[in-house]
Amino acid sequence: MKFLFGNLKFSKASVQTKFYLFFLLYFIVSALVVTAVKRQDFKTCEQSSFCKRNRAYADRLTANHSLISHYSVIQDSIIIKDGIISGDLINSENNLIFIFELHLLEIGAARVRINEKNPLKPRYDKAKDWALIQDPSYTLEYTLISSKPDVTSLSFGKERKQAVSIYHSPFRVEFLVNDVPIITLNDRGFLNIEHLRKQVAPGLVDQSNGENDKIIDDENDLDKGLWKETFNGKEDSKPNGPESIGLDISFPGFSHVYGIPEHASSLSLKETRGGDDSYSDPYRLYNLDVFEYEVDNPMALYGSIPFMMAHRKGASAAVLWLNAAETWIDITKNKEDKHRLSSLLGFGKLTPTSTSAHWISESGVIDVFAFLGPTTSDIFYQYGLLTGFTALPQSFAIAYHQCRWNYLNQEDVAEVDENFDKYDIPYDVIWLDIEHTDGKKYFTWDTVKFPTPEKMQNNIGIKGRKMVTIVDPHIKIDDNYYIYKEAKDLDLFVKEPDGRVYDGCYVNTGSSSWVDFTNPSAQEWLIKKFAFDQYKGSTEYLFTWNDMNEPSVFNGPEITMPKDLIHHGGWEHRNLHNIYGIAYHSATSKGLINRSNPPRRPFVLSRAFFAGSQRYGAIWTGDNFAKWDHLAIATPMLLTIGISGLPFSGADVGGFFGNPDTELLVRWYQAGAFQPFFRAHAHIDTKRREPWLFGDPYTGYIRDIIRERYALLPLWYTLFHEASTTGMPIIRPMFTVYPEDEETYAMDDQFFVGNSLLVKPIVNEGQTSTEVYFPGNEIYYDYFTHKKVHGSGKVQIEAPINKIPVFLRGGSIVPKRQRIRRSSAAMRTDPFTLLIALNKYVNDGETYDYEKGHFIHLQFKFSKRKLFSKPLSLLNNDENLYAQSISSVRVERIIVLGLDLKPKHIYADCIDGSKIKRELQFGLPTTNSANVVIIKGTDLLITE
Amino acid sequence: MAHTFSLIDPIKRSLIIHILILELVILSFFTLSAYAKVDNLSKLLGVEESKAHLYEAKGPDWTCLDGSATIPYEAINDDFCDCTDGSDEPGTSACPNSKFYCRNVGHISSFISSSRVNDGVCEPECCDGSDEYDGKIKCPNTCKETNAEYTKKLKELEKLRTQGIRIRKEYIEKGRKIKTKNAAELNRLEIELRAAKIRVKEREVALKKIEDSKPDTEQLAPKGNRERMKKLHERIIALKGDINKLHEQIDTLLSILKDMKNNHNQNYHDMAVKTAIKAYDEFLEEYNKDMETEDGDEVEENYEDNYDDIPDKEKPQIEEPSEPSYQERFLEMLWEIKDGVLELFGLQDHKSKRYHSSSSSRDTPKELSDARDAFEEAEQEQKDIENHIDEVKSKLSQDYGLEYEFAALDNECFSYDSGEYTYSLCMFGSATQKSNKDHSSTDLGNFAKWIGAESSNDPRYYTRMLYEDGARCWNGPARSVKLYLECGADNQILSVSEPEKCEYHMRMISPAVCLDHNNDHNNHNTEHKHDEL
Repeated sequence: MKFLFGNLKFSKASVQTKFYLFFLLYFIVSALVVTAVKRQDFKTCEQSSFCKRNRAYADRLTANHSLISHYSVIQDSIIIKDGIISGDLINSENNLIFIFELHLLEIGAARVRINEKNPLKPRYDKAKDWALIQDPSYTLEYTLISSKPDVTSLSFGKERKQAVSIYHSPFRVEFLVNDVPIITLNDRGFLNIEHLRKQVAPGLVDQSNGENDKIIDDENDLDKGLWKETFNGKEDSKPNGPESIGLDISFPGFSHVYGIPEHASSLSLKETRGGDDSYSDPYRLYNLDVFEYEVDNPMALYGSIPFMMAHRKGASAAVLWLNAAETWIDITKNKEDKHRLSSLLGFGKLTPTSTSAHWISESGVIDVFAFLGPTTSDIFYQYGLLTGFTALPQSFAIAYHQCRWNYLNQEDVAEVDENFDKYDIPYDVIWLDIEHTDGKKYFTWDTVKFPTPEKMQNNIGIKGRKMVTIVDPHIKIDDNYYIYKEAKDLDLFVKEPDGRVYDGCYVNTGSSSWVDFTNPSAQEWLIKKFAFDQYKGSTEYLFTWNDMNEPSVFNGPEITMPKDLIHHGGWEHRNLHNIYGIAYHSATSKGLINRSNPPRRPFVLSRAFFAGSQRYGAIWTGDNFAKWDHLAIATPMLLTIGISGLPFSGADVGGFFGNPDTELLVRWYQAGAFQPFFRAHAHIDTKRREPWLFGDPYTGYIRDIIRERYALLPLWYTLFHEASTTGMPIIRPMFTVYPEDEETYAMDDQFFVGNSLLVKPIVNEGQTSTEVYFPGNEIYYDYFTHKKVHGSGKVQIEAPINKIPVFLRGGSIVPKRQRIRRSSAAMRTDPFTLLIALNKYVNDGETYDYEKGHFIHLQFKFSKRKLFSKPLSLLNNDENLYAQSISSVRVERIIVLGLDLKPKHIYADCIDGSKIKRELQFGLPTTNSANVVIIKGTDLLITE
Repeated sequence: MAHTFSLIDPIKRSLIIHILILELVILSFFTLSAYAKVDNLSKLLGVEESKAHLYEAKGPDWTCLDGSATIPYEAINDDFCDCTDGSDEPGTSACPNSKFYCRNVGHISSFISSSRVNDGVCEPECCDGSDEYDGKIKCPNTCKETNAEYTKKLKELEKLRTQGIRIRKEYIEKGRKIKTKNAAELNRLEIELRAAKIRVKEREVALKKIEDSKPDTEQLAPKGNRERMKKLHERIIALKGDINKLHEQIDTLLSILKDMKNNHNQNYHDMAVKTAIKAYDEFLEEYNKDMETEDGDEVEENYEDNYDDIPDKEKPQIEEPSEPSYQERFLEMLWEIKDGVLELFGLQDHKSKRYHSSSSSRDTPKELSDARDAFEEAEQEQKDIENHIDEVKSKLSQDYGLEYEFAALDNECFSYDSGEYTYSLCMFGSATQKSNKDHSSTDLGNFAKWIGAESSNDPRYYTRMLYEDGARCWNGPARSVKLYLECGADNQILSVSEPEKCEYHMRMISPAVCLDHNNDHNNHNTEHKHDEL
């Protein structure tokens, strides 16, 4: 029995050991939380054979300065006709012929397309069908400058300020504005098109197309993965072999580039091949469902927009790399500029810093758009004309959204709805996550929890509120499920390479199939499924949320679809992966438009996105974490997405995973109230966190900031309108508002809402003051107190827990509504308040000329102590039904900040010429505050 | 395309930033129905009768009720907020802090927040429809119907409440009786305890006396007990078999878990699985350590050879580990058996050691064994009484409500069938969730405290109970139940929900919370009545 004693003694010891173990584990776990993402689930460039090959290709050229691009224009092949310059290229390594086209576009941009001249079979070229609103028209406004044996140059645009030079050998394209080069293609010679070929046995010479290819060497690291590659035990069969494309696109003289969302990274993109604070991997664009993603990382996330913008003093330029396959982008900044072909060959001037991006895509053709600016707003407009402007949402969509995985049942929904009223917090939309369905079968309801969905929606609908339900693309395999049955009968599913329907797995539904939304019949079918008589239990108050549309496939490689699956037209998934999400989003959006007659504006939130997604609705930054660094990263992420043509975006307030403490939650609400899409959301495992659960003062702080959002809805709406017509982002990076101020170029912790509100969210625990940068020689006013900010440049600003630093820029007029009601709909006929912040300099302005329609568009102008209101839409037109409907809505109050003298009288001039004396209500001018004058306007009708 | 292209220039110009330009876009897709602007509202609109005199014209000017400003009389209800207290706009939505008075003729008048005036929603609180007068929506006057329904409902509620109050009185009466009974019981037990203590003392003295009069004898175990010992030995062998069986089962479970760990799909992000794997790894580490020091054969040999040779001093001082492993629990069991065996033969326990020599001796005089039995009996009796006292004391210290009304429900159990589960809750006891499919049962916790209000003086204090420390959730907290009590004529669970993982809410009606308004100093219940309108 001795062992017993020993054992027991040990047990005693083991209690202690356990204790230590616990601490040890605690530290390990704490350390692990920082890197919660399973990096091993996702490929690095090294693990993606085409990325590795193209990087090696670039390295070879970089290492050997005498090496130049293998591609050159075949003598005399260039033809210039109707805005298209075309010609043939030859690759000196294998003597293969490629065709290139350069289109000069009406929208102030140019397009470069390169494809194999005689490919073994067609290469995928349909990304444009999803990203572009139409094939852009060519401009005939161009002049041939020179057509020499070594270079072909044209100037174009009305004033011929833009120019392009095509250098023949090696092939290089340079875009110039006012004779200054701003974009160069193949400057570093990384152009590489892996031609389609037939597979040959290892050791044999690949003689497809009759060229002299090197010997395929199975032992060669770079040749591994040409015809098959495996990642985490999952094999990609790659029947077409290597087919990648690569090209370097340089921005000479630019030290900052932006864009290529979605990454949890800074606004100004970092280098990826060495340099200070650089990443070791390229930025990756491959729509993926990344669990508990990490901040400050170039890993791919849920959406992809292959759009990159460069900006410097006096110039802005951008490119769109139109490709839907997996894409990697290496970024290098080159101070010496030693690798530029131009400097090697003696062209051009050395520039202080240039930034170059090496774009690498797994398949498809090279299709690049160059936007020549010259300003950022020109680029936003040019890009918008190409890929479409943001669809103008309904007003509820820009108000506050309340979401949780999951509101349990109708009683829960009713209670949450009532509590918002009880605590006097406005909200517009309540959301239902996957648990509302019958066993995760979308378009169905769990009839125990939600027995009368129409009644539930009507109950919130009469208060002017809406509901959103989730509809995901994985379809549970169940013959009794009508959606599955129909899709199966119509043969709409994505297929295995052998033709069987793909059966993937989604954790909550088990076996699932995925409809191939790139199939026009599938689009047509899904659109119909949103009809009220099809989607049982849906009403006009119900809108839609598309989640998991990367697509997220839990047992697939990298949690998505295998690349060798087959889509409509026989195309492999690898070609179109990044457009699966937009294809789904598009059909859903159209489904909501078509369900009512006359059609109504849809609202669809999507997690995956691509260039052009702005036409279909909003997106959000996916499954973030209730941690301060995730709050902080939301700002640069949303700014980046916004300048990439997709301004309607937000991050889950509070953080999806984990439980935020009250301070973090309050700060998150404050930040969220100044982001375009404003939704609180939480994981099913988290504590409840509806605003009233925290008690005062916190509930009060949250209430205040949500109400402020409602007060500012007229401003947000106006900005959405601007975005929908000009492509301007809604929240704007500092550099887009102050393009000449270099201080602002990398600034991504403060931003503008429109051009009038400067916002700096507090994103650090315990922080109660912050440094705000006030650019320009302008006056800023504290938005909440109306006090003038003293000083310019960097100023320390107090930011107690109940206050987010927001400033009104001198020289702006902000429209508000100061009567806060329970929903935006309840406020639609309320009077406006105009907040006028004066600047030192007041000039006359110029007007816009806009389309006419059923809306009111007013331009207010404050000049020479007079406020002018000028209708930009026809107000007294019998056709303008909306103007009639709000014909009695008025401006109730005008607040003027910064008047140096108190006015004695204020007059209103009406259309009929009569002069009405206005009453004055003066704010109390103190020594510190701007002089505040409040003008009472009881019968200034908005339509007068 | 050309048309839109021409817009580029104006955009560029918009960057001239020194110009004060605002563009305001108001768009709507809502029903495009025009509505009339309301002019010259009555100055009394939204004013309650008792304050009407404050809004009478006494000249061209009028002073805000808080005295903050003097404004033209005409500015009352002109849809612009002039007074800081909002008193100039009783009938519009202009002031955020004013209240609109709905006369509701034929029903009970009420106030609504100014933000509900003309918001396009017919407020149920304003059955006369007076809250919507700008033509956006027509709210019918439903006061007659509302009042009829209200009166009917009120009557029903009053009836139930009256019944409830009556039953509650019975509860109080019953509670009082229970309390008295328990107090008397305690009293009685304490007397008994005193007597028992005396008895123990007496018998101990008597026993000592006999012991002291006898010389020490041999310390051998009685041979006649060999047979029983053999049986116990067999029992130990059987238990060892059980351990081996359990070992096998553990091995099976471990291999299942191992499979799960190795083969689960990491991409599912299932927190439950992640937690389970983490727990498995931790368990495995400790388990392996435990196993290193254990040898099954040794048990047998050691035991068989040495079971009666263990010197007492080697008995370890066992400290309860915070979470005994299964092995530890088994070993503990073995220890108990061993102790039983040893004690049986007087080989152990320092208490018995003192007199084991005589007790184990075959020729122990009857006198001695009788004395010992008597002593032990008295000791046991004392222990029993003490236990009983603890029990009664705990009942007496239990918080059974304002007037002891919940004592009548002590340990009464109620259940609720939600379809998937049947929930049951025993007052002041435990709450459980039972699956209707496989009848597996989950502990949701035990009664911990009242949580209806901060202070027990607040009558609401006794309207909410907390049951906690139930079975722990995977990757979550221990399960708990909040029980919300409302007045009703009987005891019944109305609903069960799980608003966040592992935190259950139950709504229950009970007469125990039916307070009599007339005697109620707190206005909570009258407020409550308003809520029910």
